[in-house]
Amino acid sequence: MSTILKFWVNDDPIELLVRDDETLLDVLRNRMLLTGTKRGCGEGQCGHCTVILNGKSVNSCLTLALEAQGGHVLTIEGLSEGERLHPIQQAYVEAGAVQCGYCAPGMILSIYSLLQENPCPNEEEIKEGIKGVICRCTGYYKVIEAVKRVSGGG
Amino acid sequence: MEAFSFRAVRTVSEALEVIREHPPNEVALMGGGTDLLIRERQKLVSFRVLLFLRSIPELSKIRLEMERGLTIGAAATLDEVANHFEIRRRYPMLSQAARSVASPQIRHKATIGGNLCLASRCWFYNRSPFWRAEYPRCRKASGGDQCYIVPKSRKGCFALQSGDTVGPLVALQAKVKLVSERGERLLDIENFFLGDGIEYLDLKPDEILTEVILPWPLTAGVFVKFRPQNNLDFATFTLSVIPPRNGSGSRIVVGSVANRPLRARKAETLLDQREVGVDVIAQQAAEELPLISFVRGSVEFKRRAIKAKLEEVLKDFVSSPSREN
Repeated sequence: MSTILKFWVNDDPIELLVRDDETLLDVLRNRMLLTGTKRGCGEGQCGHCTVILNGKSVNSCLTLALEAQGGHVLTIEGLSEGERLHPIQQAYVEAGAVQCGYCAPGMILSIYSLLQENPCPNEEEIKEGIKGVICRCTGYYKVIEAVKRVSGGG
Repeated sequence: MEAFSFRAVRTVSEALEVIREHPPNEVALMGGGTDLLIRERQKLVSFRVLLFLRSIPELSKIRLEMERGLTIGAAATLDEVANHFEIRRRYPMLSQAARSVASPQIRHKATIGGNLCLASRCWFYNRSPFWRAEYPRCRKASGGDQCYIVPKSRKGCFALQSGDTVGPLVALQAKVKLVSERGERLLDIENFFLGDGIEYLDLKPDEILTEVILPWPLTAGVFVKFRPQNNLDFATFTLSVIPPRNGSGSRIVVGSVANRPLRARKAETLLDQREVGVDVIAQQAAEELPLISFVRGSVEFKRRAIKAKLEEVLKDFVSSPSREN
């Protein structure tokens, strides 16, 4: 069965016919070609598919596209303003937090969500905030440093 | 993925209507879907209609009332439960338990109702069809005649109750409200779990868990989630402990170690009476529980770990007996 999905992606109004069982991840990647959102484990463990749905970080592999009906989705493509990086991205560059880069979109959006809820997290809170994203280069320290840079905390 | 249709409804009565329109096992109820969608992909569950409950505004409400205590809508997310002001203040163990679940991403979606109804889990069962093909006689997966966890058992399934909020809710003496077209049932949460990994919950196919209701807390308790690493994993065990008040009412609840939450009743009595040391109470609790060896730990390991953690918690009570928060 298919249904018309009307929602906002990175502030653009979108109208699409999607299958009822299609995940938000598949719609973003395969139909909208927003491939910044990565597929990892497909079962909510790695967090690489993290996007912001209605202001909260979620695993888009565990979210059906129709759950976003009428809602707002923010992906990594919508975070910067043109060439101007978002402060989290800028801090990421400065701290050298990108290694292979595969986890970076999910990690950055997790941090975005964390800072929305808690603008000045301490180290424990940062660790809890990024717990949902696995980095197989194990570059967590630089990521934590980037969060401290952008939040001015730590 | 088998095709299913997605139904987002706005009220509980609309949801009941969807259930009535279909044969009993064709409809699956979904809160956050963080467990259900994975099981669907692993072909452990199949359905024709996915009934989405998060779209019912009434079901996401959390409210505290003088006469009734706390009512949590079943579709409130674990994040909402963990951060709710009154829950943090008056039911801290529930807030902690909700916050201990998986990751922020999961907690933003997963619901308290979903955590209670979280299917019992087993290391041999919650796997891909390919993996399960190596264990063809599993009672739960295929109605076979064997259990790979307790090979000597003749019947029953030992898949574990795994929702982290279950222990605190048992300790806080919560009730669950189950609604169907036949009417409403209010059930003590302890009786919601039937004690078998297959026939797991007292939830009929036409019923919806709508509310979790907690009485006013008399004393704040303590929640401990034990797992080998501070990762996204399910617990090896959870401890939810309520100290006695005027010599009665203490609770020692151990979660994630059996096909239902367990209470250490003899140890609770000892804790009420306060005539023996905390080490004796902790030892009693660890010994009286019917544990099973599992991938997450042998019986012997769990007994020692439960005793050690419980002793820590109880020592805290003794050193600050009037602890309110």
